[in-house]
Amino acid sequence: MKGIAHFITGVAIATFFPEVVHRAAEGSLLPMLGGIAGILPDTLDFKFARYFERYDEEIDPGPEPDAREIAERVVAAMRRAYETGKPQNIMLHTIRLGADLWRQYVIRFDPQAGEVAVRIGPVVNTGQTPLPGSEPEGAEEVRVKVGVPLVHTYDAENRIDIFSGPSFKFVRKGDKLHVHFLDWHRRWSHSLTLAAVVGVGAGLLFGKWAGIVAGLGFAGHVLEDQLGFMGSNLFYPFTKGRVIGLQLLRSGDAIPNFLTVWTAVALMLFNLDRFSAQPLLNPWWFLGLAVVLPVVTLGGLYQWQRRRRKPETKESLQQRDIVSETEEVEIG
Amino acid sequence: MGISLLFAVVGALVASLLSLVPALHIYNVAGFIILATATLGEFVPPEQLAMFFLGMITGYAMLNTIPSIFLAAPDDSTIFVVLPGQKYLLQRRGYEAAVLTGIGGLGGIAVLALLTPVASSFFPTLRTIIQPHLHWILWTVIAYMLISEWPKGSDRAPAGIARWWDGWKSLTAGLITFLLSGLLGFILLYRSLVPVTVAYQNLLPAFIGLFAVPWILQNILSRVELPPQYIAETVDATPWLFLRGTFAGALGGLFAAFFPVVTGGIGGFIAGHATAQRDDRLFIISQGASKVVYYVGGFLFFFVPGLHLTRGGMAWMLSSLWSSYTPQTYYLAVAAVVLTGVISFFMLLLMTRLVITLVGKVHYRWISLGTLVVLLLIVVGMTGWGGLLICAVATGIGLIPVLWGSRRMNCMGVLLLPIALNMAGWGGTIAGWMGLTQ
Repeated sequence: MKGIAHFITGVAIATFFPEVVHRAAEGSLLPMLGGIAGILPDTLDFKFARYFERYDEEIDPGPEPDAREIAERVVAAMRRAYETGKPQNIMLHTIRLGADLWRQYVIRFDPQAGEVAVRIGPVVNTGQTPLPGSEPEGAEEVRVKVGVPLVHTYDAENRIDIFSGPSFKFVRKGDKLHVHFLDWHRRWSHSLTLAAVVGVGAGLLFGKWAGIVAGLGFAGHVLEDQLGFMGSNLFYPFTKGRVIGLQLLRSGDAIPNFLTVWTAVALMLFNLDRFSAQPLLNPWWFLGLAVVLPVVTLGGLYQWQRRRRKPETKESLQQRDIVSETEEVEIG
Repeated sequence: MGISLLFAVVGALVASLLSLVPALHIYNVAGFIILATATLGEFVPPEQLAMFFLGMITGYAMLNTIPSIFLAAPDDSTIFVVLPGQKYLLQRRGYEAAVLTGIGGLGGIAVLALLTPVASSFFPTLRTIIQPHLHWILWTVIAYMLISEWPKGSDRAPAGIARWWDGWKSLTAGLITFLLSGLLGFILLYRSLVPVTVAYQNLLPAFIGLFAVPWILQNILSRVELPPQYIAETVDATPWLFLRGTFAGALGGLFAAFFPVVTGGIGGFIAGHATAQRDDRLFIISQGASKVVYYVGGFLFFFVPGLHLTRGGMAWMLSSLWSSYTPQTYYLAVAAVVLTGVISFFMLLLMTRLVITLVGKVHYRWISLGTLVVLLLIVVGMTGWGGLLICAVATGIGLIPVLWGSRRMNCMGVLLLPIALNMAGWGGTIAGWMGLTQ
């Protein structure tokens, strides 16, 4: 799910405790701590873990990128992973042309045809706006055969333009090659064990209620992500792999994210009221109108939308889960 | 009633013209009118003046995207429109971008109108519930703002600490921007260089320096060349997109309008994150809705019976002359908002075409230079040389995000940090440390 959904869930969870609400009314910032803990698992991954990831190959196309060379190097890493059985971790770098100029290129895995496709795109500025007429002349999509059986994975375009590029890990499982997008995400950070550690740590530093709020906020994030396809390594370091998610939603979809934000805000308001000296809201009316009604209508709409979608393989949906989380809109 | 609506329409028409002047905030204009009323005596009955102001703020909220998109001179409430706006401009679709914000604005007005039946019961209840919790909610907004920024390194340094620091440079720049703008806010709050006679313009030079001047300097230095603009007959947006953008924008705008200190910029930020989709159309619509709900909704709170909330400069100024208590006045105000909103939308179409003609005839570099001159003249004219100094310092801070690729939003620290610290009871102590209270 998106950062704001996790953050606000952490805040809402904190308000379920009357003691926390009373302290907050007297000046404490405990609910804020819940929010920070709520977004912490992604913070650990995106602001720390990714920088310590080692790559077997870093592909830097340089200022005169050659689509064929990029595709061939990616395919070579894929074949190496398949032939040696040793996973290959690769990163694709961006192409910076000036202070505010970047050359865009696109890579796509086509499991149907068993190919990797690369296309060199236009020059863009840091706002990702293409400069008119900057497409290289005769730039066509170059396709290179992988030549090994590929699992049916996420096949949308990966656009590489500003700041940093994506990473992929190629892993052989049985007789098929799997493509893991951004393998460093949700590998150890989205763990309930870590939630307990964070809770205990915050408790020791700031007191019992801080521990409870931080631990539950962190756990809330992990459990929310578990509603999607990819799932997380729930009991790291005791477990090694990710537990597949409940497959109820796609983490990047608008409705579940919005519904989460809405429900969290509604519940927060409800809790602030019921733990106040003179509650004003009629619980049944409020919960019915502000929580149940939106959940039923928007949830129903979402299910209807899902049924109308083109079916996708589970592997593809899992990788999409990861990719969509990295597509946070950068605002401001 | 007819006269009141007429005053509102005149207000909207006046604002439609004034909104084109970059950085001229409608609150500044209202301040002059109030000053003139105090000095020259009451030349318009206060209730008609209220309607005039209502029309002005509606017109301003609908049209103030024009300087943001075409001149890159935003205020804090339109800061997020500049980037997608420039993207549209370079694709010859500047007109479409302006129309999308207008459509969002109309959606925002529809939301305000739909809230009318419940406003007098819902908002007072909401206020009572959250009143004791304002301080931590504000700190929560700040925490999210700072923690939700992603690093922007190139990942070219060797894996490990070097690569981490490369990514964290932009985050560090963001934190420094927030801190420095917050310190500037403290100085403005406790010992501003702006003369006391124009104290209501206190933040004007800081906002211009933080948000508008860096954009314009960037445009001048990067030699932006604008292609001829295309006047589209239709916009590329579905009803579903409109509903989503409006709803998210309205939520962000209402939050900003209802909470003290939280401004339209924060509302836009929340609206942007609530949509959380990589779709420029959705984002622009949400920003249009957010700023209209923030400006107009904030002022409408002043008219809601049983609430009587003074949010925003316009309501504060008006409250010194007049107050609204009856449901009839509130319903009339909502009618005026709907009427002037529709008129302003058509004025937006007209004015956008005029600006496109201008942009087509004069080189964009000259337009940027001209805009910069206008901004500086406004700063000096309204706040004197002290204001210009504040603007220069604020520009220095506002350039940090431009140079390091961090969020410009962090400049909102100018308001958020001093007020949040004051609400937590620490503001005086910190001002003391800075030697501002002696």
